[in-house]
Amino acid sequence: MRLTNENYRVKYIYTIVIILIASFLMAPASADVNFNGFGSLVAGRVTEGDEFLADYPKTGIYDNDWSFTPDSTLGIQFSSYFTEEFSFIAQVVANSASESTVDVDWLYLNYHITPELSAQLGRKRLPLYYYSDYFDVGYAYYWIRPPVDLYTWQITNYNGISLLYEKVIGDWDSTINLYYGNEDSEDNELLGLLFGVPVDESWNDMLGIVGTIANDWLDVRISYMQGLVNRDINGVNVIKDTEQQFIGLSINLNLADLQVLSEFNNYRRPYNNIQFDTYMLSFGYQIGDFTPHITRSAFEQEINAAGNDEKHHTTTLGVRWDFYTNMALKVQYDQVVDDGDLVPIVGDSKSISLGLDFVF
Amino acid sequence: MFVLLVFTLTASSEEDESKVALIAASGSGIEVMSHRDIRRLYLGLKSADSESVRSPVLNIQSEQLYDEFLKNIMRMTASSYKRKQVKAIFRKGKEEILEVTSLEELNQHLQENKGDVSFIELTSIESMENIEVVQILW
Repeated sequence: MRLTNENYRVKYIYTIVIILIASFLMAPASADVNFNGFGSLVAGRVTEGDEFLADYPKTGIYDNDWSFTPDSTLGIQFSSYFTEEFSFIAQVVANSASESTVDVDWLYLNYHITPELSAQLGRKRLPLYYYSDYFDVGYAYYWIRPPVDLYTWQITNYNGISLLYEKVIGDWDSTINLYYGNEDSEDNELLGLLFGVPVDESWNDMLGIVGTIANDWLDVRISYMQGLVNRDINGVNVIKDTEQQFIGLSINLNLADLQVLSEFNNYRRPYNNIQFDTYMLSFGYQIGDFTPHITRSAFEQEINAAGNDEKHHTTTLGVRWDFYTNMALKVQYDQVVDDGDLVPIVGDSKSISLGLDFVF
Repeated sequence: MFVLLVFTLTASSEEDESKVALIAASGSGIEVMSHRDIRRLYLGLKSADSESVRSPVLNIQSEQLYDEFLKNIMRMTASSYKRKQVKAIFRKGKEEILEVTSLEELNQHLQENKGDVSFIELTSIESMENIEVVQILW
């Protein structure tokens, strides 16, 4: 939700006001109120090549000069627990790469119907990918940023309703998350960068399911979403109520000090003959407070009649150092190979990034 | 006889020193929990006995005790557990698990929040008031 976008503000202000009024009316004076925060201070530069697109949704781009802009983030989560069953969650994030001042990532009411089943109403992160929910919380993973070839999405949130079922089955923790919602993005930053003119995009009637099952050493996640796309390029409607589907699979292993992380995704928009696959495979090994890691990720689009041939892959090397409670230092090297002929993104590059992640 | 008694008491005391207990306020009605349920609770999920068990409290007075709890019950290192907590908070909006740094603070919190649980070295129970041992963890 871009707070600097006036039209967008007007559209959702009523929802927000209703939720807030309802929340405060329901909140007893003794309601527990918590604040949690996170931040990343990241500096980087391209050492070979011209540009490195480090954050697709917010179009954070490094060039040949040192910059803090593309990846630096500060976020605050506010949660109020009215009763054992009822809570209100809000999260705002300021990204230096984003054109807007502050993005509202989360704003929802949570109700525990039973200890295992809860319902959420409001605004949430769109849980397509494994790291979608906490994409901005650098402290939660060992990279400076999740592998860029995967997280090439232009819509990152939805407004709607979801059900979360959490169940322990033997040694396994399992969850099923069902969601339905919509999102409008006026003057979308990523699409504006790719098309070079203002682009409005909406994803409507999104219906999705995310299933996870995890034990001490294995974590498996499956994600599916279908919905409709609408797109206006420079004020001209080019896509109208066109079906899209996303399917994703993540398999992560925690074998003592060794972590093996993987993610495979497929996106389809059949009517426009658009289909692409993204994947990543990563290995991290914890040695005391240090976690060196290596990752290979890729984006491969099938060439269609329109000639779409976006294709790029990235090799990442890095180290995370948990040097202090709630803080981690990271250094990372990324080598991007951009194989797109008709649809190049920003070309080949080699870059270096240094980051400090913290939670509070 | 006296020597045997002293030996027995000493051995018992030494045995207690290495024991760690799950505790709650007296009269909380919490029954023995499975290690799986305790682990689940400390991961920010609801206990299977959500009628009696409310929230977990992390006793970080002793770093050694905290590390042993994470190793024996949570089966992870402190940094791994911290990352799990961060994910739970920022992925699902889970409530942050309270940390206490002294037995006095822990004693007061448990008395004021019947249904909350924590862990201590068994020998520390003598210095606490209106606290009961739910079970010996190890």
